[in-house]
Order: sequence, then C-alpha cells, then structure tokens
Amino acid sequence: MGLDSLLIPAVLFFALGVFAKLINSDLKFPEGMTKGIGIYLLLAIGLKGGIALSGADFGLAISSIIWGIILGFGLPLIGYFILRFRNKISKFDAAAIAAHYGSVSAATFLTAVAFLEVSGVTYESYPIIMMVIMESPAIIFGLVIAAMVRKQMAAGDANAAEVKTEWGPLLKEAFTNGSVVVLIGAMIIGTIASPEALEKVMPFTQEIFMGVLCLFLLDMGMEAAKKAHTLKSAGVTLVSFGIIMPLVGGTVGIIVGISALGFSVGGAFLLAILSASASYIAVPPVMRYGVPEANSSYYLTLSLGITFPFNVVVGIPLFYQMTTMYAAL
Amino acid sequence: MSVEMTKGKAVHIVVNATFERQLIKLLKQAEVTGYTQLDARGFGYSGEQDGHSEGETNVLFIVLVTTEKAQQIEESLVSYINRGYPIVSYMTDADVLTTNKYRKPTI
Repeated sequence: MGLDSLLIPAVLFFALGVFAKLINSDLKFPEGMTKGIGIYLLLAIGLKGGIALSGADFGLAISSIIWGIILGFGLPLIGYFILRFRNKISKFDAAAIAAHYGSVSAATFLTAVAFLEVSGVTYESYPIIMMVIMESPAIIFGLVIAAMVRKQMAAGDANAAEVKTEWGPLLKEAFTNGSVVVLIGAMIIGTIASPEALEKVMPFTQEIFMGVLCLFLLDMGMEAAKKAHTLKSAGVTLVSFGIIMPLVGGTVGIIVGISALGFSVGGAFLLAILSASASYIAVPPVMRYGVPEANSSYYLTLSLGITFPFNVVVGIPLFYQMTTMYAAL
Repeated sequence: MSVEMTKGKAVHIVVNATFERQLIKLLKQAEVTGYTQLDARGFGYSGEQDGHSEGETNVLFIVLVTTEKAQQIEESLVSYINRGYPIVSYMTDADVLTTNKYRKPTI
C-alpha cells in the first residue's frame, strides 16, 4: 500500500480546501454548517460503533476502555514534559496544549477509517469506544495542571490573590460536551436498537457518510490554511512539537493496539491515529474558559494548522506502514 | 409633544462565547433588568474571531443601566480580565426612551 492510497476523495477535498484559501477564493461555508456536519459525522460513526459493539467481546471492550483512560491521561503528561523540557513554553500554555494532544480529533479518525475502507482493510469497533473515552481525561489533565500552577504562583507571590478554580462547570463541560453526548448516545442507540429498524437509517448514516466527510474536510482544509498564517507567532519550538507529538503518540498507540490489546493491523492503526491526533473542536472552548492564561492562538494553530494536516497527509500512510511492520515482528 | 428620555449608560461588553454563561451570571448578580446579546465577529489580541468554532466566536452584550450600576459591572469584570479572559468593555452615555413599561428598572 503506497502513497496512492492517499488519493481518496476526503483527503483530496482537504487539499482543495487548502488550495482555495491559498488562492484567496471566496469559498465559504454558511454559518453553522460545519457544526451541523460535525454532529452528523459523530452520530454516524457512533451508530456504526454501537452496531458493531452489540456483537463484540465484553472483556476486550472493558480493556479498551481502561487503555483509553490510561492513554487519555498518559499522552498529555508526555506532551507536557516535552513542552516544558526546554523551559521555553509557559506552564499554562503547556497545560492547555498538552490537553489538546491527549484528546482526539474525530475528523482525523474518520479520514483514517475512509483510508482503511478504500484499502479494503478490516478493523475492530473498539477504537470507536476509545475515541469516546479519550475525549475527556486530557481536558481534566489540563485543568488540574493549570490549577496547580495557579496555586504555586499564589504561594510564591504574597500579594497575589488566590484564584479559585470553578471545578463544577468545567468538569460538566468536560463530560457533557456535545461531541461526547452525541457519540455515546449514538453508540447506545446502535447497540440497543433492533437491526431491522437500524437498516432504515443506513442510507443516512452510511451511504452518504463518505460524501459528507468530503464536505467536512473541504472546510477543514480552508481552516488549516488559515491557521498556517499564524505559524510565525507560534515559533519553532511549538511548530516542532506539532509534528513530534503525533509521532510519539502514534507510536504509543501502535504498541498499545498490537501488544496490549491484540488488535488487528486496522484496529491498531486507528488507535495510533487517535493517539497521534489533537482535538480542535471539543477541547479549545474548555481551555479557553478554564485556562484563560494560555494563549489560545497557540493551541488552535498547532492542532489545526500543523498536526491535523500532518496526520492526514503524512501520519495516515506512515502509521499504517509502522503498524504493519510492528504487527509482523 | 416631547418624549421623556432618561439619562443612563450603555455598557458594551465583547467576550468570547465560552464566557457567555459567566457574564450572564455577573449581570444577574448586578441585578440588571435586561440585556441584548449579539453574535460578533472581529479581530483583536486573541486573533481572528470568525465564528468557525465555539472557541472562536465572540458575543457582544449591550446593557442599559445607571452610571452606578455600570461602574459595578465594570468592576466585576476586572478580576476576569486580570486572569487573562479576553474581555473588551466600554460605556457610552445613553438617552433612553422610558415609557411606563421601562420606567421602573435600572435606568
């Protein structure tokens, strides 16, 4: 499987979006459309996961959930230490950025699913559960680190008033944000609904899925190109992190997928993509409110302007090859 | 026929949409009798706010209040601005048409 596999419509539409922005085209989605498409994609993938889960191995599902939690806290911890290694990035920025990299990008995951389906590679449904599980732990990680830094700063400065973190609304947001609710809800519906009834919604959730994904990636391409303009302000350290962290996360995902969970190449590859991706929908609003001290343009530029295009263009074929090689060892 | 106008302040507050709920809470604590809110796009020190996602959407609040209450609202915002929340607030004089319905409240 070579780079030809990247010639799937979703990736090509992403490239079209980038191109449209580069030539200053007036192409623009109507307000709210991307949000609507995002909800549709999560609903469709959640339903698909739920249907597959109804016949899945319960023990492996539990192991996947546990590993999802471990990765959800472990990956941002690794990211935080990488960012703080040279002491160039502030603790607040590092906490907020690490939270984005511990959480997941559904669009990257869905592009990887499209890649597997076009290539005829089968995959387990467990990575879909892991996608749901991995949304929230990193958010909590970022909020906890920021609260600790605030406490530390208040202790070091006698004149500073201690800032109390309002945990209630922040944790509520972490666990009840729209993506989590739609994904979990659709998965439960897919698991409990009768197969005959589900067949009726298949034209909506499966047959047009890839086409809608193309629309979504067209918009993501435009957004990524727009964010690329702000790369200069991010600096070399952060830009490097946007490429190093997915490589680290993807490698961890492959090892966990193959060695710890015993997934097939397709399943482990999807876990690698989850671990390599950075959130740009669910996490930014929570960090914006919960860690206002961090520079929001950093994490949005990194996750959408660097890591997302990197994963779509380089990460997907690279992690697939790496997974195939690791599985053959 | 002359209409009765009451002098007060129009407080304009631009915040990120993620701060919307907190701001409404602050306005209620200040006991304002109402506010107008509009989705807003723009550019500032937080970068471009184009409404693409929740974190990149601004909201503009307009509140008509007495001068004292306007000061109270501005004061309640200071600690949030110091913590790094992107909040832009300014007030202007306002001559507000007060009918029976609007006579009582905060103006």
